[in-house]
Amino acid sequence: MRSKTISLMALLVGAISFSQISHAKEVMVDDQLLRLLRYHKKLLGGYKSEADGIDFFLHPQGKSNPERELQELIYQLESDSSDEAKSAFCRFPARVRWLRARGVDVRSSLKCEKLNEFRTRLSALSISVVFSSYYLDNPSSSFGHTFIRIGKNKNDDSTATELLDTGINYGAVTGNAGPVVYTIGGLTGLFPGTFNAIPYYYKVREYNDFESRDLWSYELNFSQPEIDFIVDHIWELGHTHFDYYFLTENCSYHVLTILDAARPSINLSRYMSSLYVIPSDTLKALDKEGLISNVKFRPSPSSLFKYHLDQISTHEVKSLRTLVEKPEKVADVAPERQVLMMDSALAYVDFKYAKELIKEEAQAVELKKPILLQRARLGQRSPEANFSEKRGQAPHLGHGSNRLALSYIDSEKSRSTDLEWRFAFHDYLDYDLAYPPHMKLEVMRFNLRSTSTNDIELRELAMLDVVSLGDYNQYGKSPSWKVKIGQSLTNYQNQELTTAGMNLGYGVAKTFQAFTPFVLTHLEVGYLLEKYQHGKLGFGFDYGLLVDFSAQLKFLTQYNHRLDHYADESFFNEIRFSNRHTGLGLQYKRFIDIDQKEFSIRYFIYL
Amino acid sequence: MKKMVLIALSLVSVSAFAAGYGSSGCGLGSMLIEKDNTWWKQVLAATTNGISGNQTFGISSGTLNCDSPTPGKTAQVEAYIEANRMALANDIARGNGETISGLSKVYGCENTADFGKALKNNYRTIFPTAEVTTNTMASEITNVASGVCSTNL
Repeated sequence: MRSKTISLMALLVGAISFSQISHAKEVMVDDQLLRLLRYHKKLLGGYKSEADGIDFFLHPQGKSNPERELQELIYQLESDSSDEAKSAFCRFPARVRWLRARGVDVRSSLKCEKLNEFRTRLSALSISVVFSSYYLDNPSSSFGHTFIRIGKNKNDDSTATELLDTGINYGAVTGNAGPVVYTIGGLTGLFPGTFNAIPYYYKVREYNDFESRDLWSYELNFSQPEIDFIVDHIWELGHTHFDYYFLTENCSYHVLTILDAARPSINLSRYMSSLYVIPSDTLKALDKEGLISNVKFRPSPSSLFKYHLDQISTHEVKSLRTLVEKPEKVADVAPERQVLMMDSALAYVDFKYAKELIKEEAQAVELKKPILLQRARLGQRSPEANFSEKRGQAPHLGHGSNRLALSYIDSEKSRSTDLEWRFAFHDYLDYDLAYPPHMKLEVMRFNLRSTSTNDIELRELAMLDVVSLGDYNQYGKSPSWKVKIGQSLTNYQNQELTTAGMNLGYGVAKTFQAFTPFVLTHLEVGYLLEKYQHGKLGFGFDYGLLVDFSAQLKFLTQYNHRLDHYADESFFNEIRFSNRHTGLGLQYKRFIDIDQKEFSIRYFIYL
Repeated sequence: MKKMVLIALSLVSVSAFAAGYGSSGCGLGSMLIEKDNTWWKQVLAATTNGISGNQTFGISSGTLNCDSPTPGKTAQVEAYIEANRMALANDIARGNGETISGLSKVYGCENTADFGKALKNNYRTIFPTAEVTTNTMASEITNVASGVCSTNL
C-alpha cells in the first residue's frame, strides 16, 4: 500500500470557524480510507475511485488522488461551511469517524439535523444482508438479489419486529430508456446506480409476496461502533452515484464494499471475479470471512403453502378446494383441525393469487374475504410455522458456481479427452441443495476436445443455456421452457459441422415423487459456419425423464426427436453423483442418424 | 460474434430490479404500479440486475414513498397499513402475527397480545367490504388501539 504522510501543522494555522480540529500525530492515507472512498489501484500506477458523483469528493482531483482528498477533508473541516448541506462535517460523518479513530480531535458546532434524522430513522442495532431468492419463472430474478437490512433490534432480541427495519437497496436509474439503450447501458455503465433507504416491509411485500421469492436474512456479527460507522457511511453514499454495471459493479458488489469499508480486517470483494458478481457468491464470501452469526428464513407464499401441505393429510388436501370455495364447510372439519385447515386455505389463496391480491383485483379479494371472515370466527391461535430445517438449505451452502469438467470419451471411432469450463451457475444434474429444483441455468460454457490425432477442437461454446422444468399440478400450472444461445457441432449429412445460433422451446413437466417426465418443443434457428455456410431451421421435440434419487444423485434420460431434414436426432443419458466440491458422472450418447455411440466418464470440480 | 456475446450477456441477470417509486401516494400499490411492465423490459429485466425505471427516491429524501420527508404518526400508520394490507388481514383474522407486532410498535402500544385479540374481535368493522379504504381501516384500527393500548395516539 502506497501511503503518504501529510503534515497537518501547516493547515492548522487557518482560522477556525464552525469546526475545530486538532491532533497529536500525522494522519496518512491507509487501507480503510482507500476503501471508504472506493479507491482502486490503477494498472499503470495511481488510484481511481469507483464513485462517479463528484459530490463524493471534496477536492476537484479527489477521484484519482487520495492524498489531496485527505488534505482537502482536513482543510474543509477547519473552515467548514455553516450550511449543513455543504458542510464536510455533516456530509462525511464516516470520514470524520475515521479521522477520530486516528487521534484527530474533530469538533463542530453544527447540529447536522438531516444526518441525525437519518440516524434516528434507522436506529441501527444490527445489520443483515438479505438475499431475495432465484425464481426462474420470473426472468428478473434468475440469479437472486441482495440488499442490506439495518435492524432496529439486536440480532438475538426475541421481540424484534423486522418489518419496521430499514432496507438499503442499490439499484440503477434508467428513466425511459428504450430496449437497446437499456441493454447496452446496463453492460457499459451508462446508467447511474444509487442507494435508497425504505422500510423493510416494502421490500418484504415486493419480493416475498408480490414476486413470491423466499428471503434469507444473513445476520452479521458487526459490533455497535462498526454498525454506527456503516450507517454514517451509507449516508455518505446516499449523496453520490456509481455507474451501474450489471455484471460487475452491481447490487451485490456494493453491499460487499460497504462492509469492507467498516472492518479493515476483512476483504469480501477479493473473493469476487472481475468478470461478474453473482449474488449467492457474495453470501459464500460472508461465510468465508466468518461474518455470519445467524441465518433467518422468510417464506414466500409458495413456500408457506408447501409447508401447510406437509402439515395436513392427503385426505385433508382433497377437502382444501371445498374450503376455499365454501369456507363455511369448516364446520364439518374436526374442531382441532379447523384452524390448520383454514390457515391452509388462506395459504393456498395467497400463493395462487399473490400478484392479484397485492394489486387488489376484485376477483381474488372477493374469493379471499369469506375465508378470512371464517378464520376470524375461530378462536384458537395458529401454531407457529417452523422453518428451522431451512437453515440447512441456505443459499451460501450450495456448490460453487464455476465448474470444471474433465471427460474421457470412448466412441466407436476414437478415444478422446474433453475439457469443459462453465462460468455459472447450475444444472439439474448438479448437487441441488440451495439451488432451485429442476433448473439449468448456465452462462458461458465451453468444451474443448483433444482427439487421438492430437488435434484440439472447440466442440461447444454456449453463451447461455437455460432449461426450466416447471411443475404442472392441481395447484399451479408452471410451464417449462428452454433457451440456448451459442455455437456447437451438429450433425448433417454424416458430418459434424459447427453451427451457430439459438434454439428455444416450451412445454410441460410433472413431478411424481422423484420422477419428473417432461416434453419440450424445439425450434432452432442457426447458421452452418462450415462447408455449406447457409442457414439452418430445425424443429422437433425433446422427451425426457429426470430422476432425483437425492440431492447428490441425479439421472437424466432424454430423446431429442427431430422432424427437419438436418438429421440431428440424439439420445442422451447421464447419471451423476456430486456434492459441493466434486462430482462423478457416467454419460451415454447416441447420435441416431449417423449411428454413432459415445460413452464417457466425467469428473467435475465445482469452484 | 461480438453481437452474440452482447445478446447472451444481456440475458444474464445477476439480480432483480429495484422498484420505482412515484411521488404520489404512500402505499405499496403506488410503488408497484410505477413498475414498468412493457414486454421488453420484462424480458430484459433478466439482464438488468437492479435496473429499473424511474427511481426518484434517494437516501436523503425521507422514509416513505410520500413527499413528506418525516411523516407524522398518522402518516406512518397509514403507510404501514396500506403496504401491509393483505398480510395484516391474515393476521387480524388470526388475532396475532408479525404485522400486528409491527403495527403495535408503530402505535407505541405496549400490550401487543391484547391489541391483537381486540383487532380480531373487530375484524368485521375493520374490513367491512373488500374495497375498504386505507383511511377508514386506519381510523377503525386506531379506535381499537386507543381502547387497548396504554399510549398516547
